[in-house]
Amino acid sequence: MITFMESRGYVSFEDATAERVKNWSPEARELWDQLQLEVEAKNFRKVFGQTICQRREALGLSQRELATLATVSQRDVSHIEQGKANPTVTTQIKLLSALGLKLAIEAK
Amino acid sequence: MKDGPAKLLESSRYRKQFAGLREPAQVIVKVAIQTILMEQGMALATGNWLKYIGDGVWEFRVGKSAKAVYSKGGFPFNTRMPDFLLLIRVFCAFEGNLIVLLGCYDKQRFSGGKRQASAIVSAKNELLTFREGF
Repeated sequence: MITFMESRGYVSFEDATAERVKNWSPEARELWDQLQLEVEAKNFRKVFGQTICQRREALGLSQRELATLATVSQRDVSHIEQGKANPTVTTQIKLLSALGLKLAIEAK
Repeated sequence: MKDGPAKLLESSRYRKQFAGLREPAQVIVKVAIQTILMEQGMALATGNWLKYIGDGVWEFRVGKSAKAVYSKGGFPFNTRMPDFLLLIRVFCAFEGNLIVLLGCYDKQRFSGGKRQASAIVSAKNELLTFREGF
């Protein structure tokens, strides 16, 4: 359906954005790149929070119990699970360890 | 809107009008669409960000500042991010899992009612054209 619509002058947001960015001034491109990093960071927080929540629930732990195991506050656990907090690396490692998880890095 | 990630299409009319916006506003509108409209969709209608204007057309209200977009988009403001006033209206339609961008205009630059009325009529016509495609 997208291809059919493209033939009628409709372009996907991603393609239109890629084309538009090429025409921006260096300042606008720099701002865009900067904000895309923020978007990526936000997505990382969201995925991290969801992973922590799913694992905690799979282990039958409450937020309070996880907080005790990881020596962080229950408020922090709640905010991290909702992707609202920007936890330090130390806090991330504490939570992952308490849940028997580890962080892996892979190429895009 | 149905469940699942939203796909978004830009009409040629929208792209032409978008190209006429000030460059920093273009960047912020792109980010607003990406992090607010595509993620929250019609749920935005419970607040001030999305308003139904009839005939299947919705008005996505980007403003009143870049900072407000960062905040609604879910990333914290830091001093390296520029903040400025902007008031952009993006007209869109929700067609199943598709969000179709129909048109836009800078309400800050063109605050008169005539311009707004003309932009709305133009967006409604664009939606009719889109629907004729099916």
